Amino acid sequence: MRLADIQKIAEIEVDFQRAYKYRINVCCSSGCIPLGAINLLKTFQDLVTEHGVIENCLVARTGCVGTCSVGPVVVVEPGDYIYEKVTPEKARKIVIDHIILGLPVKKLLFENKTFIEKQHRLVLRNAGKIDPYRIEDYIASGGYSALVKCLTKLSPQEVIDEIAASGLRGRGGAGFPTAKKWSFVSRAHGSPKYIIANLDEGDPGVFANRTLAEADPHALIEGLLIAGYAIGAEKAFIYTRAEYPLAIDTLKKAINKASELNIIGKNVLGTSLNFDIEIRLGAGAFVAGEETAIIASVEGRRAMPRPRPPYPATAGLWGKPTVIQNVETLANIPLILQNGGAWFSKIGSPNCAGTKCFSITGKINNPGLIEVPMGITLREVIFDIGGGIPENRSLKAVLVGGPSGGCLPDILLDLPIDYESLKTAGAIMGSGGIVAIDDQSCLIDTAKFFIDFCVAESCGKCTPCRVGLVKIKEIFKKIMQGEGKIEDINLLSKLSTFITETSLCGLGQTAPNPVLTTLRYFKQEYVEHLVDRSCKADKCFKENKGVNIN
Amino acid sequence: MDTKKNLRSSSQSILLSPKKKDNSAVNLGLKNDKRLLKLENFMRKMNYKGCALLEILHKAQEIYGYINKNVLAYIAEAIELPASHVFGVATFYSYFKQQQPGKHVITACLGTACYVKGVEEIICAIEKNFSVKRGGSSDDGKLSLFITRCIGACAIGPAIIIDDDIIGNVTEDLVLEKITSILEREKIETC
Repeated sequence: MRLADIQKIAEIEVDFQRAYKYRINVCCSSGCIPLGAINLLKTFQDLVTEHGVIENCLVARTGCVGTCSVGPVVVVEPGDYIYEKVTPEKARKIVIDHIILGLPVKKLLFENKTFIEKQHRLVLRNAGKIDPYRIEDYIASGGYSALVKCLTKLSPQEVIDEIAASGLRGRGGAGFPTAKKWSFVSRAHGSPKYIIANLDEGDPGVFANRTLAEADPHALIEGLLIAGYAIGAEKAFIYTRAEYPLAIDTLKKAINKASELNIIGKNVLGTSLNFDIEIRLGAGAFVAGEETAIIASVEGRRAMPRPRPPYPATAGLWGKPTVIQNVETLANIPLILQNGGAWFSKIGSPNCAGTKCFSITGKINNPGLIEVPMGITLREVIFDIGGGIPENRSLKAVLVGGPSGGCLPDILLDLPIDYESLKTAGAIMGSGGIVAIDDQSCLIDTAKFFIDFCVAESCGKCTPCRVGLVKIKEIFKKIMQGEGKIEDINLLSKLSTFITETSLCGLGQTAPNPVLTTLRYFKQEYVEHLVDRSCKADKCFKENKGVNIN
Repeated sequence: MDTKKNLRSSSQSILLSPKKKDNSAVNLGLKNDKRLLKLENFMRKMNYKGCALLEILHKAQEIYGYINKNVLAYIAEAIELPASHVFGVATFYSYFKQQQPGKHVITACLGTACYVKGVEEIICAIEKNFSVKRGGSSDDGKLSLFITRCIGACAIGPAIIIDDDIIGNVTEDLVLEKITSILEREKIETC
């Protein structure tokens, strides 16, 4: 296949889809499948055949719509009617009323308008809209046109300049400017050069990257291809969590299809670009999110970080210049090239362009996957989009940024979400997890939960992280058993700061964040535990009451 | 790279001919059955490269359900890496299991969202009711209870996987009932 053929495929597919008056999109992502989405897809296919509307209505499987709490979700186009908690009986009603009679079934619709309206879906533009297994669907929605543009009109340097103009920063957590990273690697000596796409979403409570891979794998592939062209790399690895079978399967199929059409492989679309993509499975190591650890893991070793410099941009995978990029960042790339860097830079907040995907979970009315412009406030996310806290309970804290993020109190709800503001408040962007915690949770218990996680996930290479975190865990144990002393507050604070300052990698440096932020914003709760021996949420002082841990 | 080179040279002494490999399989107590052949074929496909170790371990676990020491030793010989290195990698990653799981496997998600929604209490209830500890199996080998860090089903948390089926929004009663019925069915079938 050659460059011009992309346009042809798009035209044929658009014509094909135009022949249908309606399109029923059945969400078949990891959230909806446990709720019976696959059977539902078949039900719809049978129903349109049974009622003789198969020529009028296209039934497609799609990725995540985002309203995971009301799955299985079905969207009818045109008009984007979102139906919630669809059962086979409801499916029959939808087909008869909406498809045959043209009357949307109002009482079955997902009615939360703000959930949709407050979002700005760029990365998730195709999620819930296209069939991830059909490359034609992606191409018809404008897919691979950015790649064609790069290969025909732009030099690698111009691609990097466009990304620089967009102000795109890495979505993996640290927020490093993408264009800067790319130009380091493009200028670095040594070949071959490599790209690693990080899909090892180790943060518990986060599923944005998985959803992206399940819903729109070709956006990721296109992003990789453009990155490869810009920096002169011919090989990319997608490092995926092994616990994401559907994402792996979707990606494999997408890679095979793209190879078949010569979109990846030798002489991509008849040009001189060669590019190969390989999937590598992680095996359950949180620390593999750190860039030097991910390199070790792709090389087949333990995922243990090493000191930097040398940075991966100069000496990465097998000692060669390597770009390591989060998949969300990569999915932004085609859009930026399509619409221009200036367009992208206007979205979001001034020093933080674009959008960010967040998994909003915990004690919240509308848990799910959202994409919002940078700079939106936590209040808008929790209350407008998330629908507030269930059972009329009050919000106690918001955990932002995963297990090494921070617990922020309700007084900080008007904090704009961007890398700098979150950092000042003691949290991190991380991979985009927002967990709402209500007054039924004890924050001492919650902080210990995260420390437990980091103790288990510490690779053991550097002492502050390996030993320090265990010490913190022991102090928490003591507090929760009623053995704590008021001096423990100071000790925790000192120890946490020490670990933050002296650990080798990001895991150790951020692991004490939940402790530091709970100490900063919820000191009273520590005092209650230490002085009054009381736990308002009734989580502590239970089974081990009176037991002397010494 | 350097470490890798060192590992290679230090393992030169255990270079084996294909024939010797067969013997080692017998010595290691591995039956020369189809499973071993499958593993061997996969390693050949990977050119017995050390950098494919994670892929090979994934394959081994897919074939055997877990990876015991003998299989690890076999892999180490085949890809010419010290057994200590292979063992180190296999035990570093929590996804690789070193013990045979029970006939039925319960995997509880202990991600943040599920934790906040009370999965810990459900895990404790399973432990208590079926005499099984997290990470281990029941004495009769019928049931294993594993903990995983987030399966990404956060919106429908707490989530528990029972024999490959993800069950969302679980309650203590629901899980206990499901497990009981699975074990009862098992009993009837064996009778």
